[in-house]
Amino acid sequence: MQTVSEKKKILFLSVIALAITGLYVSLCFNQNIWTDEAFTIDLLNRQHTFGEIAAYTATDVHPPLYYFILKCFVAIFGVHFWMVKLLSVVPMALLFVLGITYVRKRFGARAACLFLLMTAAIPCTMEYAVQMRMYAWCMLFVTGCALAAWDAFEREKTMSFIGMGVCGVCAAYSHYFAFVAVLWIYGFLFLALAFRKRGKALVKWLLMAAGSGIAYIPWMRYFLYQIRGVSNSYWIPEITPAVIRDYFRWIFASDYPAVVRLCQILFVLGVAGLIGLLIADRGKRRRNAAALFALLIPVLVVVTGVALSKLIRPIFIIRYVMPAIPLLCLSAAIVFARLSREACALLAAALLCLLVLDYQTTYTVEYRSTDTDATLALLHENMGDNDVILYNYKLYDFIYQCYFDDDQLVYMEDMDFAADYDRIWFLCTVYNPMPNAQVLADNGWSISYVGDYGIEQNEFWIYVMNRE
Amino acid sequence: MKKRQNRSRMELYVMAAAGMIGVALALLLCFSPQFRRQEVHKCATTNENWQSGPLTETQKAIQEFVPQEQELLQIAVWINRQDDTAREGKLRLTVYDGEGVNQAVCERAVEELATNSWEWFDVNAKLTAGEIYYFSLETVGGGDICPTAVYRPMHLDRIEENVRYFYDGGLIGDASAACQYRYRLPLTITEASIYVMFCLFFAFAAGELICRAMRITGKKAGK
Repeated sequence: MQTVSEKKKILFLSVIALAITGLYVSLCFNQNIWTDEAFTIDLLNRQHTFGEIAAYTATDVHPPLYYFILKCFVAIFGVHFWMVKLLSVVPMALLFVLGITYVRKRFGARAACLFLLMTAAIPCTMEYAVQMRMYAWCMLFVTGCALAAWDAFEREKTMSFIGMGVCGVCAAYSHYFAFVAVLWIYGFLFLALAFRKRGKALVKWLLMAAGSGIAYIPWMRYFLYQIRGVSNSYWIPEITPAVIRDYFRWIFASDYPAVVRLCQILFVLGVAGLIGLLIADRGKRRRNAAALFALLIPVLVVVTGVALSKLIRPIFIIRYVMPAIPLLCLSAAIVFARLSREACALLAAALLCLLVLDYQTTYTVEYRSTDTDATLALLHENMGDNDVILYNYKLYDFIYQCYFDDDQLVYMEDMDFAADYDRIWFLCTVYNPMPNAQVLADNGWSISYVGDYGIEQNEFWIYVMNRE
Repeated sequence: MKKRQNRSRMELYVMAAAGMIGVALALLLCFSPQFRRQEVHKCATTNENWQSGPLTETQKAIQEFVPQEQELLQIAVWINRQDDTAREGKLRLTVYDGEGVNQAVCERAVEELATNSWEWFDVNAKLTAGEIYYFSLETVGGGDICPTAVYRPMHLDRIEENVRYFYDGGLIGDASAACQYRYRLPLTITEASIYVMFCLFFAFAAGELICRAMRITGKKAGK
């Protein structure tokens, strides 16, 4: 049989990676954001120095690296929604580069191809690949750390330990459950080296771990502060057996019930296949150990999250496993790559179709699920310099602030109807305070209904008030 | 040589059987209604301030609607049982077309209905998307106190389906029944492709494992 040259394999994998990256890029050019993304924009608009960002992030529950990267990025390109979304595509593209280079070299082109397609096609990833949040970066750092750890285990090169340390520290500075994943990776490498009695490598590991610890010292003060804050109160609901059962569904969540089932079956078969391979090869093949290692990281992140939630208070929600999701895909890819070329081609075709379906769904969510565009178009076209936007839903004020300047927005309770505005555009959310009809009449305002609109998931009616 | 030929022929049979099982599974998935995507269209909120009068056999609430999809599985309505005092009879929901031909009739005992929550009626009707239909609500065999239906001012709601709302033969202006429509969506090409590919993959992978096991067993027997 004619073998395919490495160049052609790289070219083939690059085409796949470019196509997926192209899909991600096409999902960025919209005005759609959700609450957590509004937090990101709010932070960018209000905090101007790195110190301010760190202090502001400390009042939330995440570490600051993503916001630092973002700050550098917008300093060059400015704050545009599409630009901030594009920043999340960058780590995804880098993750694919890792797939084409490292995964291909260590586990073969077939595994690399399946890794790229699985990471892109499983239903939970596409949405996070374009979100103005830290998850895409976390996926890159945790996967980079795990691959470097595997390299350190196999070749014991100093550069591998350095790479692992850098990725590990970046992951820990990006999300606490990426930190958890990294701790497990460090732990596994230590155990593996100790088990093999590799003295020199253990010294390198110790230096790398000590370096990582020192690099994290600047954030420790905030970390402890956040732990205290979270211990007192946090918004995540209690973790019950039903919630845990739902975790396995969330990773493959889709509007199509059969798709969820098929993905679940695929990954269960991957685990069963891995167990079968471990038994059949009697632990002789390194690749099986790599697949097991990659599988254990996301599983242990969930176990740690649930255990900590039971010990302290509910602090884990399933999306916090996102940083380790590419490792789940890597594990399955290594296992399925052992099948024949034809079977792998069928799986690749199935994953491609799944990717198309995911894209259709995410496109609808990003571009068509809210009335934001229509609302912005209406207000931008019709608002004059001396007009103001009045709103009555306090909870959404920081989301409105992402779209309008502060001096254009007034909350109902702060509104002075006697002020000299030309027109008032009232975003009226049901069951929230309404303007007093007498006050309106006394100040000469007449009100007329414009239409049904909305921003993000908040639907409202827009009324315009004019002086009689 | 002959043994090897027999074995490879056997493997061919196994893979052919796997392929057929894969296709059969894919067809089963494609044609199983329970695996198809469902979509619910609902009005924004409910507010019991807007209620029709009591629903009786002569005083019905009727909603004119235009289905957005072909397969209407269920309709949910918001019913008020007058502080649980309405207990007798059955609430009947009838779906019919513009010419008065019944498409579905469903009944629920009034006593079973929860107050202030959505009540689903299994319609399971094949309708023509974009055409005008009606659903009516009435209490059959009700007592002195009958439940009422809740509606919403049309301008406060976005539900695409609802057109006009009638009670006791008269039009209630700017009203729209507080309701939901659950549809089953048709199979798309992408969905079908996913089912076919995944089922073929599972079948071929299983076939391949069986062939490998046969080879190992054959080798052991040869030894």
